[in-house]
Amino acid sequence: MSEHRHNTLPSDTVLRVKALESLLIEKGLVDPAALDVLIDTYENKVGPRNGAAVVARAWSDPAYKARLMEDGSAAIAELGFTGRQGEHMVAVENTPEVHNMVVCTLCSCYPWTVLGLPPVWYKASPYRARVVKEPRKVLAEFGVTLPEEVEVRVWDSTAEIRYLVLPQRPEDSEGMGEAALADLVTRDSMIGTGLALAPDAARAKTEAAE
Amino acid sequence: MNGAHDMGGMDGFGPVEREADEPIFHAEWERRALALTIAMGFQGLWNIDTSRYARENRDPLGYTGRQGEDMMVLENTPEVHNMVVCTLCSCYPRTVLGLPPVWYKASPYRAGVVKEPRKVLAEFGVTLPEAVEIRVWDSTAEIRYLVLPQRPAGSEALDQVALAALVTRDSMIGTGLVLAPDAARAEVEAAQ
Repeated sequence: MSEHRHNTLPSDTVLRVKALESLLIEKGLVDPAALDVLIDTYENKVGPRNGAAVVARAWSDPAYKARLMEDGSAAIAELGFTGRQGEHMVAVENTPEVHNMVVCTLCSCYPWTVLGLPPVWYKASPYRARVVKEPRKVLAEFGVTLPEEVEVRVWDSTAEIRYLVLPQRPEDSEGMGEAALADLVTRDSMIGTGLALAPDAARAKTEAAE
Repeated sequence: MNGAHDMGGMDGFGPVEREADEPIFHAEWERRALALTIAMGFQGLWNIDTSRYARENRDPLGYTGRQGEDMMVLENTPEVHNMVVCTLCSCYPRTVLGLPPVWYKASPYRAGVVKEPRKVLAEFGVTLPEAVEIRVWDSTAEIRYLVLPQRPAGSEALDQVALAALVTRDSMIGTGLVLAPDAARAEVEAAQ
């Protein structure tokens, strides 16, 4: 099975994008320098580290967590994360009784301000079609198996509302500061297709990368 | 609005495929296209509702390109009749036929057609001469089949629109034949 099927596009896609860019620049509608800034923003600045900071703050500060659950957009904006595709944010909290997952069955709505651009699988048909029908099976494919008594709730995003999963704080993370806690928060744990890392696992991962 | 984009609960797309490295962009054109899109949003020249409307109006062939990317067309001739099945699940050429009928996904068809295709065909009301060879094609996650049925006798003068009215879904799966021009006319009149 070819993993990069989406990548094998006809070269006319490349030509069309080039033509579009030339035309828009010629008409004075876009500034090439502004395009480079936008690309840099989404490639290097906005990403799941933003969401991880939100989660770590919520784990550390009960008053912040209360504000996050009450008005997601405002609490996230407190940390400076605002902008497109994050206007109406709703945080959903994982507990020992409830596990939340997020999808956009209709297209690819995703909380860009806290998670960056969505991964390919989030936009692709299998996830969108299946997670609302067999969430436990999809979870298992992501390597997560939950006890039968845990209720799985799947939230379907809309053009107006984006969801951020607040994962459960892992055991043995009691003494940790916000920065260390944020390292436990994976992107998938904030979509609901993963869990936050245990402190040991996070440490092993960091060491392996070094 | 119902359409190809409304995927919640659909079957047949297979497993969730994750990339090992998950690059944010896969090619330079993806960077440029995203930046252009956002920049034009700042100009107020589109909004998210415009974008959704555009996606929802896309041809299903373009939208769900995944199923149907590798389409093989099988031609029926006086000597060969082709039939399509997915014995393993319900792979089906959605881009040209839409969602599969229930019988296509159910065990009796999936199990029966590869073993006794003539008997299954008879249940669909089709009996072919013994001399006609029957080929059954088993779909996979990668390859989908479309049967090109035989053009019926008496259809010589018909244009494409009238011809399309003769082509039933089952004739493109191989569980039916195209309608004769007379039968198609009677069907249209009965519906009116």
